[in-house]
Amino acid sequence: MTEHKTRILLAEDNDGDVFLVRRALEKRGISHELVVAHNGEEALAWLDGHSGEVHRDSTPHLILLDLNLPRIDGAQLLSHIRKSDWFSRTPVIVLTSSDSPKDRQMALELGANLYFRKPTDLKSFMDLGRIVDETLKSVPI
Amino acid sequence: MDEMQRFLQSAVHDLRAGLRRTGISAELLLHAEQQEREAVAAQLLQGLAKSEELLTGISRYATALAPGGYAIQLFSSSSAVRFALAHLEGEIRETGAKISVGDLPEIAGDRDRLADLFEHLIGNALKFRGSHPPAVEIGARRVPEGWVFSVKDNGIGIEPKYRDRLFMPFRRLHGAEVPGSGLGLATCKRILDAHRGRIWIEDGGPSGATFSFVLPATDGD
Repeated sequence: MTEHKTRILLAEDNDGDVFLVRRALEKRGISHELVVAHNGEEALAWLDGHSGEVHRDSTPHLILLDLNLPRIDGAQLLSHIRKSDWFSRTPVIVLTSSDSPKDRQMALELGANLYFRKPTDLKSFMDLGRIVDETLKSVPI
Repeated sequence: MDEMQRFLQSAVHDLRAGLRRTGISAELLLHAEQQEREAVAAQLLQGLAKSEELLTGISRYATALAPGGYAIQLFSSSSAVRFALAHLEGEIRETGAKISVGDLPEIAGDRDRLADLFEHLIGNALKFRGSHPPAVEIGARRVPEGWVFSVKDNGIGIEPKYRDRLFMPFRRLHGAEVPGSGLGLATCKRILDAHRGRIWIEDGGPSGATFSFVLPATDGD
């Protein structure tokens, strides 16, 4: 039997945070395949190249999205995702350093499933693994 | 939201993000296995350097904003370019860049701020280089309005769709893999505003970028 891997697109420009996300997924024991896009344009191009029935086997199960991305920001990207026929129901967790209530409200209004404010301590950051796990279980794959 | 409020929010956001990463890296270092320590320590130091770079960017932007802080005098613009090149000596050596400077006029302005301006523009030409060593041409030409200076490079260029936001603070086109505070060109615009000048990017050819700016002519020009 082949091992089921959760495909995750992570749109994040900072490699330090990519490292932490990877670690949180590993710590939770989530068998995953992580695709990293370092700016919004790269993420959008990747999504456009992986939409439609023909790409079903490479479609992400989950999208992790930083709001503050170069070129195309996270809000624009989220809006595009929710308008897309193929990704409109893909779970999206917004990851951000922003503590602005407006950003939170905007992300949720645009259709984010969850808003995760990047914590300032390691233990809380590792909680992202549990959040990803629960989000994946709440959405049929 | 006014521009200053947006600026402060972005500055706080980026500084907070830097502090957060540094704190977490310190925690990781505490728990790291011996073989991991070097990589985690490097990550921590990189985070600190990034925060320092951001603070330098904010400080330069703030200096460029201060309307009373400009000491306007007549001077040869080639001396501002010389200062800028002296500051960039390490990067020029590392990248193997070839810099050519044309005849530059005497102008009225704040020499230190205009040296900052040249440093930002030449520094960008070195940073956003293509696969060949950078070739940067600096020149000036007289127009009815004053003097137009240009800094032309053979680098990766800037796609037209992103040009309208280039001079706004914290609108980076590249991720953390490329150094920079996201304030360089916004600072250039502020310096030119204070000199009643303006800056723009030329519609370029297939590669490279040319930044031009105009400084108004002074009496006697």
